[in-house]
Amino acid sequence: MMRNGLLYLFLLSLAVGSVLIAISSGSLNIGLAQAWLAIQGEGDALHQQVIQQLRLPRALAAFAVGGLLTLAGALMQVLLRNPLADPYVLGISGGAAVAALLAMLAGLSGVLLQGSAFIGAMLATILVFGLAHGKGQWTTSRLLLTGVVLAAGWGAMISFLLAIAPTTQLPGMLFWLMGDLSPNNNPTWALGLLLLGILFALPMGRSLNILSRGELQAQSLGVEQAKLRYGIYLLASLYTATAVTLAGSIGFVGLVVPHLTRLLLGSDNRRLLPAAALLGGSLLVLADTLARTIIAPQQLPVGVLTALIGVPLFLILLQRNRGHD
Amino acid sequence: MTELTLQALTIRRGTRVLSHELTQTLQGGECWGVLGANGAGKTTLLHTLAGLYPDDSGTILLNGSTVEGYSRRQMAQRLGLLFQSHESSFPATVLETVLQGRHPHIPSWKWEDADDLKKSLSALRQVGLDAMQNRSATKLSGGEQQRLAIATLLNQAPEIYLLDEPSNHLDLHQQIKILDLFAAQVKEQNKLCVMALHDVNLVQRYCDHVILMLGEGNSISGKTSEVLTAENLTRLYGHPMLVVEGPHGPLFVPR
Repeated sequence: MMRNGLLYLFLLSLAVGSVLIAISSGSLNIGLAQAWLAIQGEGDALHQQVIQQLRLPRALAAFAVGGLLTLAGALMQVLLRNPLADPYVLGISGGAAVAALLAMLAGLSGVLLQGSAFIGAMLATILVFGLAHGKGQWTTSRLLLTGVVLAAGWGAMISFLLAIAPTTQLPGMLFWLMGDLSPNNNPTWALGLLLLGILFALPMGRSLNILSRGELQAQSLGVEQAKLRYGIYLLASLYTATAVTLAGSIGFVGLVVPHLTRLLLGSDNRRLLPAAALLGGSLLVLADTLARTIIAPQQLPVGVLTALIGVPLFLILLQRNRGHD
Repeated sequence: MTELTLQALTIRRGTRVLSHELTQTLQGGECWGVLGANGAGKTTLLHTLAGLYPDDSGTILLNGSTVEGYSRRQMAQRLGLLFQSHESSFPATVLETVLQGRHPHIPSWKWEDADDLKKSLSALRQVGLDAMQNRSATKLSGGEQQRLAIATLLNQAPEIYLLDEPSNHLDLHQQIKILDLFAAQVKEQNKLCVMALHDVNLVQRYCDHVILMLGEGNSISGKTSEVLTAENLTRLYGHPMLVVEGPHGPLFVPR
C-alpha cells in the first residue's frame, strides 16, 4: 500500500516535471523560474509568447496523446486478452493514416487534415466492429483476426499511396506515419478525454480484471461481459482516434507503457490504468522534448524517440523481473 | 427455499439434440450427479442452467422466476459455476484471484473491504492454499489451480453450485476432501449442488440424485439408488458394467 502511494506520488511529480522540462527547453533556453512566471502571464514578453503559444500547448498535447495511447493499449490488451495488443492492432490507426495521406495528396492541412484522420479512424472502427460482429458472434479471436487482416489491408493502401505520392510530399507523409507533434494543436479536448478515461477506469476496473478469466467465466461472476466488451472497444477506439488525429501514429507507447506499469504495480486495472496514463503521458512529453532538441534546429519524428527509449527500458525491466515472478 | 426447475428443457448444438424436453425439479439440500459419455452435453447443460446460453425451448426457473428475469449480478449472487478449465491472461496473485469471487457482492464503485479479505482467506484455507496467497496464480500446478478456482467459487457463496468435473486434476486425497466440502455445504447450509463427473463411484458416494445423459436427447433422472444401475450404466457408456459390493455401497466396474 505504502509502496503504491509513493509510486503514485512519483508519477504525479514526473508528470509535472516532464511538462516543466518541456516548456523550458528549446532553441530559446528559458529557466524553470522564468518558465513558471511565463505560464502565469508574467515576466519577459517573448518568454510568455513562446511558452503560452508554442511550448505549453505542445507539451500538453504530447501528454494527452501519450496518456490516451497508453489507456487504449491497456484496454485493447484486456479486451483481446493478448499481451501483444496495442492501440493499432485492429487497424484503427491504419484507417486514420489512409484518410490522412489522401487528405495530404488532396492538399488539405490543419483542421481539415485532422478531421480526415479522425473520420478515417472512426470508419476503420465501424468496419472492424461490423465484420467481427457478424451474426451475433463476437468472439475475441474473431475480433483479433478481423482487425489484424484489415490492418494489413490498410498497410498495403498506405504503401500504395506512398508509392504514387509526389516526392515533395513524401517527408510530410512519413513524419505523419511515424508520429509528429509539431503541428500547433489545441490539447483541451484530448486532455478532457484523458481525464474522463482515468475516471472511467476506476469503477470499470474490477470488471476488467475479471474479464481476464475469460468471457463466460466473467459472465458467471456477474459481469455483463458483452456490454463491457462493447464499451471497452468503443472507448479504446475513441482514445486511439483522438491521439492519432492530434499526432499521427506514434508507435510503442501504447504497447510498452501498459506492460511497464504492470511490472511496477501488478495487473489490477484499478491501479494500473490511472498510473499507466500518467506514465505514458510523461514519457511522451520527454520523448517529444528530446525529438525537437536533440539535433536542433532539425526535428526528429517523436515515434523514433519513443522506440529508442521504450525498447531498452522495457528490456531492462523484463530482465530484472524475471527472477521473482 | 433454493429451487431450480427445468420445464421441458430442450438444448441443441448444431443438428445434435443434447437434451429433449427434460423436466425435473432440483432442490436445496440435494446433490445431483450428471453422467454421460464424452460429448453427451454435460457441460452444455451446466452452462445452460447457469444462464450462459439461451436454451432452445422450455423454461428454467430459479427460485420460481425465469432466469431471464435476473441480472447477471443477481444470478451470480445465487448461482455459481466451476469451469472445466481455468485461464488468466494477465498474472494475478492467488489472493487477488480468490478475491474476484466477491465481485457480485460488492457495488462497482467500492473496493473489497476487510470482511471480503477475511472471507477470501478462509476460502483459501478450506482448500489448503492459504500458504500460497502471494504466489502468482499462473505458476500453480494443475491441481492447485483447480483448488484455487474452487476457493473462488466458495468465496462467491451462491445457493446453487454447478460443478463441471470438480475432481479434475486433483489427487485422490484432494478429490475426497473437496467433495466432502461441497457435501457439507449441501447438508449444513441446505445448498444445491449439481456436478458433472466421469467417476461413477464418486457419484454413487456423494450424489443422492443423478441425471444420465444417454445421447440424442434421451436422459434418465431420479434418485441415485433407483437410477444408478449396472444396466443403465452399460447403456450410458456403451460398455458392459458390473456391480460389486463395496464399503460405502455398490461399486461399479467396467467388465
